[in-house]
Amino acid sequence: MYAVRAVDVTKIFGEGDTAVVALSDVTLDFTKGEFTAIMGPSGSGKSTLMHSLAGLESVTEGDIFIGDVQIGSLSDNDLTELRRDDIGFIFQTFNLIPTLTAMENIELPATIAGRTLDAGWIGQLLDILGIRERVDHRPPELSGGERQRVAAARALAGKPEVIFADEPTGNLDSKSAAELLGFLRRAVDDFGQTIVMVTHDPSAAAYADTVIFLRDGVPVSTLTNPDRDRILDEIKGLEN
Amino acid sequence: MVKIAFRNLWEHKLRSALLAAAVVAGVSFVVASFVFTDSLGAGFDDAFSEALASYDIAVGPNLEEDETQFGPPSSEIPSFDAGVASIVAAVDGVATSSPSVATSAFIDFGEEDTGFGGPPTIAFSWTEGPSSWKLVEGRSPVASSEVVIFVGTATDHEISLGDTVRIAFDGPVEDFTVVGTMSLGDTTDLFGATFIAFEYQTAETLFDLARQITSVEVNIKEGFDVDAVVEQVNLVLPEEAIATSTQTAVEEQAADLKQGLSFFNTFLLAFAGIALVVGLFVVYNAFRVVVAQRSKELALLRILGTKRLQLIQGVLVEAAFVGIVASFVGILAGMGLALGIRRILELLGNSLPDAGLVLAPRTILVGFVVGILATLISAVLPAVRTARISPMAALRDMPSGRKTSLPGKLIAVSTLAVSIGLIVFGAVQASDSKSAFTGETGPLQVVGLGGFLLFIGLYLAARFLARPVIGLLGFGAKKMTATLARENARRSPRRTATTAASLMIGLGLVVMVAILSASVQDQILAATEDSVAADVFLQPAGSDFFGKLPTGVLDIVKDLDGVETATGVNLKPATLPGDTNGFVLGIHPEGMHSFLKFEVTQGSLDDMVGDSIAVQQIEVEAQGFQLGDVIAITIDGDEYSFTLAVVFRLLGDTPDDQSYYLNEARLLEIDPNVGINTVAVVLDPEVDPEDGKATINEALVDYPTVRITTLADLVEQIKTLLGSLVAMIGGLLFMSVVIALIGIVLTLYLAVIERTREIGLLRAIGMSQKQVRRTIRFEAVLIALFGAVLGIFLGVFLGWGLVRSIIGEGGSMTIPWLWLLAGFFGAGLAGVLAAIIPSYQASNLDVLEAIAYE
Repeated sequence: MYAVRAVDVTKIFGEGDTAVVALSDVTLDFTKGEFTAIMGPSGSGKSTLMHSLAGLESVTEGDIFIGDVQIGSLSDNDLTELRRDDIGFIFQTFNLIPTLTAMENIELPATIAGRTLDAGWIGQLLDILGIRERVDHRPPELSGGERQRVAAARALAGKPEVIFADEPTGNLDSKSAAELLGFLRRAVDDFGQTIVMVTHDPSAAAYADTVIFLRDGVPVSTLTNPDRDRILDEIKGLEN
Repeated sequence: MVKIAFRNLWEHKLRSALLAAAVVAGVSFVVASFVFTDSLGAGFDDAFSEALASYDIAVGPNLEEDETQFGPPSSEIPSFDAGVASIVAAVDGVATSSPSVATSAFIDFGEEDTGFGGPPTIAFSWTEGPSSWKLVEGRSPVASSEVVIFVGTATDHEISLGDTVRIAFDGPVEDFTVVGTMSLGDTTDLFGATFIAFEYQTAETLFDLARQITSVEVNIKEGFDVDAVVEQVNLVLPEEAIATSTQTAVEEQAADLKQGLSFFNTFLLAFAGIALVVGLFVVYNAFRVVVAQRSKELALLRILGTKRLQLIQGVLVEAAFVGIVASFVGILAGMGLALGIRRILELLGNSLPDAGLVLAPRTILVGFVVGILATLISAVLPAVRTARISPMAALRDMPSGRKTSLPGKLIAVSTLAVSIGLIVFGAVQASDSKSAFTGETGPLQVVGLGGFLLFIGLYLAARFLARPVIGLLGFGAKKMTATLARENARRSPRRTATTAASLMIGLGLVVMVAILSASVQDQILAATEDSVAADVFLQPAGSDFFGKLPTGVLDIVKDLDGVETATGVNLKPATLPGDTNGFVLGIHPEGMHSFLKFEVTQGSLDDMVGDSIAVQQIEVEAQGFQLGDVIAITIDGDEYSFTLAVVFRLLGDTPDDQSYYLNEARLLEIDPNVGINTVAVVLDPEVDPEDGKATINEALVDYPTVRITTLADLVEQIKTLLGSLVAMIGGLLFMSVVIALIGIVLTLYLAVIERTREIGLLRAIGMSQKQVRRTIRFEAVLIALFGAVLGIFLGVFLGWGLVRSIIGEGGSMTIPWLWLLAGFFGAGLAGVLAAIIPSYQASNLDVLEAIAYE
């Protein structure tokens, strides 16, 4: 039912007088097979929320569930395995290992795990993303858009429980951005992938099924089946 | 992980090559020392097995444990009755039994005497029939004036058939005609030793052995077992003789030699160890920087699911790759180095048996193990640090700040304090009677331990010293390039410190050795000049320490024009109090002032008669004697009780083992054959020592076996000996300095990569390529000078402590300032050289690419 859940999650950085409350009593559910966008101004806690959901950041209070697994109680090794096998990542920049080819980057999580990927599935991904001819090139030889697509291929290659995307289109021109987002949308629609995306761009958020708005570490509103205008209105409303 | 490791190395070939180079040096040293000693050993084996191959059993003198057949401590060659040969012949299973005689001799080649020591000259009786010696040219000796000489000797001294050679045994020199040359099996050169053979009866007469022989060569009949016959023979032999199968003899000789070689091996390995340690520093530093530079990438790997252990393994695998390559190259380089060492030694006049280069499987294994282990050990700490990289490091842009840990500072300061304290303590503890020269190694050990800790302490403290010291070194830098360079060097004090520390090790050791040798040399020279009374010394030439001068020499010299006095001194090996092996000297009390400069502190020289013995003050203090005490000394197996009647102090305060003096009459009673070992000649005051030497030389023209040395000659010999020792050690340490320089190159190379963006920015706003290069160059010079400062401090301080603990309180340290200055400026120059590659790399960066570098 739910791919990812946060239950009463609080995250405080620092202590005493210099303590900063990044997240305050957050409870959220992310349904399987849905594309969710998280939006909010700087300092709203959206990056912290994603890092916590992905198990990269520990929480001060509360629980996070990936699938049925409560990740707070996992050892570092188990957590690492979870990231390797059940989560996909796409970052704004620096997604790829520069000394490996595109193909090797796509296979990387599987190589680390010692698994082999389904060749058919990989081929399909390469074609859909349009990067088949670039697989033997290294990241420095690829354009920004190509690199993000390779990252996306890597994220999808293992058919993870959830894909976390942190401002994936932040560094792209509008054409490449649209291509990438369209592909993410297709992954959800055609392949049933669950995607959680942090973004500040309303056009990007418009691709999602649900948009959650965060302010000062707390979710303040939610939009379903949004379009760009509604999102912009919501943002304007929140600013008052 | 393996793939990434390999890719990383391949992508950065220069960096990997430099890393490998740092280890190659150490590995090649290790390999070279094994190859060299193995080859030498194989050469010995060949020579010995050939020498003894031609007969089955050797009957020789039954020697004491520390006696050898042809050398000290006894000046005579042990022999036994000639009748032994016939006794042996009668044993069941013996086919032939051939007696032979041998002794050491002296040949006058008409060349300058090379001084004390050198290869021996062995004379023996020629054996007709099967023998290990084969005629090469000419014929065997028949007449009493004929001699056959070793091919190696003939070649070295350009002697051909028919030539006359002047040979002396115990008396004046005689002329002999060379009728043939011989080889030992196939060996034509044996470390420059000289062998000469005479007809049997002639040999007996010449060697003055009076119906004694020195060996019997035995062959057994077909079908008999060698060991069985050996047993039988031993049963009939007198006590002074013993039989061994040549097989066993070869093995024993080989074993003895192997032992000697293993000492040399250990000596070389010690220096190899130093080179490896320096290499370790370099590789450790490099990996640390590389891991830090790659932290973002490693963090990404963590996000994607790489476990900590896998990251650690990745770094270790990368190190292992470098190690394997380094080992491989190191083994090859090591063989070349061994060849080089051999060539150098041969150039210096040593002849070595040639058995090619022996690369034993063990050596290859050691090479790989050492190379791989060294690299792995250096990479361990950086590898483990990767475990601390949090996945979040890939997402944030924060540079990892290093807090100066208080425990780190504490450990560094305390180690430094303890080490300095130990050195000072040890040095102060040492006094004239308590130093390594007098056999007390206590203070030396303390200083040694302190020295070891000082290295560690300085290394630990270096990172805290880097900023102030470099600030000082670069003080007053007004130009922008110089200022930038200075601040860059101070920016990462830890990295700078480790790089400089590697130079500190090599340079510090070199400075220490230089100080030590200069001080010891000056000390010895001063003591010698202050203690020696004679102007000219006469001693027997050749390698026998206890040799005797030919009879008659003293009388000839005494009456010469220009000679004021000539005193004979006898030398006899003995076991001294404290169970040490040393010797007793015999001299006429009246002549003692011609020999030494001394003052009597207790008793009187007039009392030095009979069993009254005179002992040097330093020894008296060390042994705790009192005037009138009975001192037990063992000579030739018998224990004698002497009474301490005279205590004297050498004016030069030389602590050495010439401490016990008897009246010569008494020593002659104990051993009538002791002979005169030294004649001390005091010249008339207006005679120049060189003229005096010439006069004596002329008078002794028939006695070429006598070596005539003036005080000045002695001084020269000491200087030469010490000089060559220092040169060799310096050469061995130089390797470590080279490795440290590779370290500087590597550090700068990595720094440039790290600062790419910065350099791009500087270039964009107008810094010229030349200025960029100058900045890097200056930074290299500062780092090198920092290392030099540390090294010089280390060398001087440790040198001081060592001088005091070795020489004693009276020892003053001589600082060869020239060496120190050379070291300092040499380091600076080295910095300039080291900067070449990185500075061009920096200045050639494409500006736009550099700015955009992530």
